[in-house]
Amino acid sequence: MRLRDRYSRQYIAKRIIGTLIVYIAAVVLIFVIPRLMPGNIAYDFVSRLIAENPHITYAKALNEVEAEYGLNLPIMNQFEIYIRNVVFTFPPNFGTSFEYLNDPAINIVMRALPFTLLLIIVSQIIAWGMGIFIGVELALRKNKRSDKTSVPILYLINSTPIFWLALIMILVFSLKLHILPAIVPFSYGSSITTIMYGMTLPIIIVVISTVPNHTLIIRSATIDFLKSDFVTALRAQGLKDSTLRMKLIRNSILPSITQFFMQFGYLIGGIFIIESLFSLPGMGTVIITAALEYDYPVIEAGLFVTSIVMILSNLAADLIYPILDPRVSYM
Amino acid sequence: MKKEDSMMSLLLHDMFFKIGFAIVGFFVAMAIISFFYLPYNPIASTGPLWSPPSFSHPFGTTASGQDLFSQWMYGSQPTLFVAFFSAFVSALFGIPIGLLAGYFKRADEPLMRFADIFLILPILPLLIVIATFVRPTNVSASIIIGVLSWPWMARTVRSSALSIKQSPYIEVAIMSGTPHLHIMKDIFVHILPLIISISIFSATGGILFLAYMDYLGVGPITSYAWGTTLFFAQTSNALYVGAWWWIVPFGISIGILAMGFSLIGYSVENAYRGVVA
Repeated sequence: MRLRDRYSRQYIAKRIIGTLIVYIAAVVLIFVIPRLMPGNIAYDFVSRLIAENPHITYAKALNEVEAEYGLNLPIMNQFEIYIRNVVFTFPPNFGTSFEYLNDPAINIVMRALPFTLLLIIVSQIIAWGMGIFIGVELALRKNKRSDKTSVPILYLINSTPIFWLALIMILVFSLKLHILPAIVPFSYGSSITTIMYGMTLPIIIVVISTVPNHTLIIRSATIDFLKSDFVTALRAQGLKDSTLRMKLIRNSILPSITQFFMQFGYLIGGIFIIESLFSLPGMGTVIITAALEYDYPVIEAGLFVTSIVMILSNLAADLIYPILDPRVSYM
Repeated sequence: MKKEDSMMSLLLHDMFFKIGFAIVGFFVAMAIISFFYLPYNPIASTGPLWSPPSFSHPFGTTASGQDLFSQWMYGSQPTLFVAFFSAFVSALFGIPIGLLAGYFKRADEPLMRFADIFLILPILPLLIVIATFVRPTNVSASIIIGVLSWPWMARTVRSSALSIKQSPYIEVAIMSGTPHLHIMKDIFVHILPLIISISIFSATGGILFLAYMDYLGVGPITSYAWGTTLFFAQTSNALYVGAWWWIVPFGISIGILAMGFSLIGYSVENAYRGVVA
């Protein structure tokens, strides 16, 4: 069967509609959450304005800011403006940042996005590769001593908070051994070598803390797979051990991809905290700083871009599945 | 032998279950003891500042002279509370929705799309944003964590309900006109061990989420969970002063407690699959 035949039009339509529903839900939620919160968005902004320009009166500034941001409009009109600006404008317009005036919030977030993607992609490729090899090895040694001791250790690393791991690594590598920097020494537009040098420790930490998860998933998938008739047949053929192992690896890739994308949201949370801990100029730092400083436009833009990344990667995972597994077809 | 008996005997011979049970039991015992006895007041200044571990202060003291051993004992209370309560909340939403989706074919698609919204949205950033506006208490933090993490429970319950629905005895029950509620109760009882296992795993998730929130300073900070102590260590620059004793025990405790939960969940799931399959 050719690849094109494996996707029915119905399936693709269903996936895309599902994705659109999640997208709309995300857009609505991002509008609703800040407005459910207590307090007026304008107050904080106005007090900041007055601190810088003492000659403006409070009431006048409040009125002007409310008019500027449309806060005195009925909530339905606000929603209409929001939808027009976010869904029907490209790039989406969330207004300018309260913290960095005149800088559109979406630009702040988009500048940060490449650093986050770099951290996620590099660390996950390494962690996933390691997870496949360790997981298959452990599955082949099920119930032997090496497996019995590794599983609790894997669970321990898996359930250790990633920021604590980072603190310990900083203590050892930066403060005791003086090998790697504890705070990332680069910003937007630094040279690639500086960036790689600064990224080394964050990447190592994310790899250490995500390898156990990949390993455990692949281990249990391989254990299930080892029970199947297919493996008995392979063994009966007298295949070399390395050949068998390659077949196991190929078959364990699929469940791990599904699981990976299901846990992507959790992973992104950990990565955001690591970024903010190292002051790495990525999405995490931007969102956490903005949340602590009540910088609403940047919070909204950050949540929006994060949701888009997650929605698109989930869609990609769904559509890639039949390419990786010839048995699967979506009719 | 009855199914429950064989599961129990499988569990009691499982090394992982014993280790996990011992770990969780130890911390639960510590939480109970800390209600009645603490060596020092965990928040008051009771010793020298920045003191490394010593006989009078086994875990050392903080920058303001608070006894870290007392804080460690006291911190087990909120950590365990949020672990159990958030798992309870996520079960409260996840089990009915999963059962409905697995049992009624018509409800499957809309309910799972609804669950997808929660799965695909970036939970932790959302949690951070919500928590900065509304300073949560232990109860509201667990509710937020539970509400944002129920889809995991719903998905697993749904897929096991789907596979059990294929079995002949359920088909017979449907044909003989047994009320739907009754059949769903039967399915629920049948997959109860699996539900317990997932609940334990979501307790692990609750511990970690609470630690993340506390560490960022947006959690229920007055309850002094272990993550809060790490937050104060970070804001007092304990790392750069070299006060490792302020950082090491708390993170490792979170890891060990969560590992204990995971091992119990893992062995319950294994026992269930061993008995059923």
